[in-house]
Amino acid sequence: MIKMQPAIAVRGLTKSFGKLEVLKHIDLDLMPGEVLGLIGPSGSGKSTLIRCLNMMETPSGGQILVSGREVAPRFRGTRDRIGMGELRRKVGMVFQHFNLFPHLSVLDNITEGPRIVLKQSRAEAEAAAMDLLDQVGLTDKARAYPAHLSGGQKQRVAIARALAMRPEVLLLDEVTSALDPELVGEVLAVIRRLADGGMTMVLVTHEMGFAADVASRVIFMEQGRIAEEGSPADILRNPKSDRLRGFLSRFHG
Amino acid sequence: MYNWDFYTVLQSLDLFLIGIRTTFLYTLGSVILGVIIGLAACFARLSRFATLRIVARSYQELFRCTPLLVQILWAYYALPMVLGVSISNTTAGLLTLSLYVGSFYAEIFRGGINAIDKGQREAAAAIGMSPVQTMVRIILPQAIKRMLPAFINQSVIQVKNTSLLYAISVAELTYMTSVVNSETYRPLEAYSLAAVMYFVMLFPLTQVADHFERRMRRSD
Repeated sequence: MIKMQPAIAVRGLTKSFGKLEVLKHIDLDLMPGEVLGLIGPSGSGKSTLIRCLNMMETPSGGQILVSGREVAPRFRGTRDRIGMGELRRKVGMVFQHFNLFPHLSVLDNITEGPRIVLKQSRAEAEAAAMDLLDQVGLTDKARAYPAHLSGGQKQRVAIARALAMRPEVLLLDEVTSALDPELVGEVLAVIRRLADGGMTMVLVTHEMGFAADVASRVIFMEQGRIAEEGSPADILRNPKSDRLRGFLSRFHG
Repeated sequence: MYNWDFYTVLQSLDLFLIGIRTTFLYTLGSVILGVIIGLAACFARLSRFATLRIVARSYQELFRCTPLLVQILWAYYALPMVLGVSISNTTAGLLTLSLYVGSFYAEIFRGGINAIDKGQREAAAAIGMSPVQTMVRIILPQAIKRMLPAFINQSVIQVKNTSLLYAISVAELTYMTSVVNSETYRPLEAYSLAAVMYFVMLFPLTQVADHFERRMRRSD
């Protein structure tokens, strides 16, 4: 049997902001097709960890390997090291605050990467973008500008924008935290369909029910370390540590 | 009762027109050079190289914290002594005006770029765009819209600042007005007319700046 290579492997990752050590020696393998949920109290390092995976934050120490190649903290890679440009083509990201480009229409937001980075023709990029808008249920908004969309619509466009790069891994950093409660469902539905379609994902979330439902593995982070890790059933329904039990109790009314 | 006599002064309309043309050319030249200098200084200040940042900062403070008139006089009378070559009033005037306005433009550009949410940079980076692509396609289009009112206002000031070239006998509007005055002995009419001419040139520009500012507020 062939041993599968992790999509992303993290080895001894540390990250400090000044004197504050946010990540303390993290080891992690993300396998293709896996949906990894990162949970934990604020300040536990989960957002920093996911942001290190595509070099939005430069690690202070340790290694990140993407498809077996070590990531270098510069835009262009070398023969054996993958640069940030290539890394981010392979590993997409969706942000808490959407970060859509306000001066571009919905369609142009989605085609910007494929056209400018992947050098696709406008026609090719727009056809693919319309497909993606169909997947997220927003074909009628193709010509609209971000300012005219609801939060849920913005986040679905942001997901389509990330998917337009055909990434191997998708990072979702608290993508429903800035949404009104009634808009969370439409975004989660899109993510669930991606998970069902076999997309490799890492999601930082406060939606415990959703993590239990969609994740294949859950990691509980605390004080910059991986405190517990396992199947959603183990972590969320049978927490071992008091800290995790205490953390989870805050989500059950 | 003062006896207004615009007729005499208007006999010299051609002199005023020469002045307006010169004022326009110095403004245009110094705005174009100023934009180039300002962009260079702005990106130097945003650079990760400390030396570049310090050089750009020093240039900016030097030109922002000394009077333009002193700079013009220095460039025309003192600089030739330092360099040992003569400098025409055209060169001294254009160079000083450009460096002066460039130091202010740099600050306007920098402010506009820094005002763009850092999430925009991250979103562009997250789809694999290079820093240059991010700047040109994502940051600048948004920043330029924000900078426009301040940029136009600074350029309006620049039109008026060309009048300081009077001191080194550049034939711009104020200088030419003084020529008309010495020929006609009609200072009240001559300088009033000059003021009206400046006003007619600049009032539309300030209106354009206000328009952009209102539009920007609406779109925010």
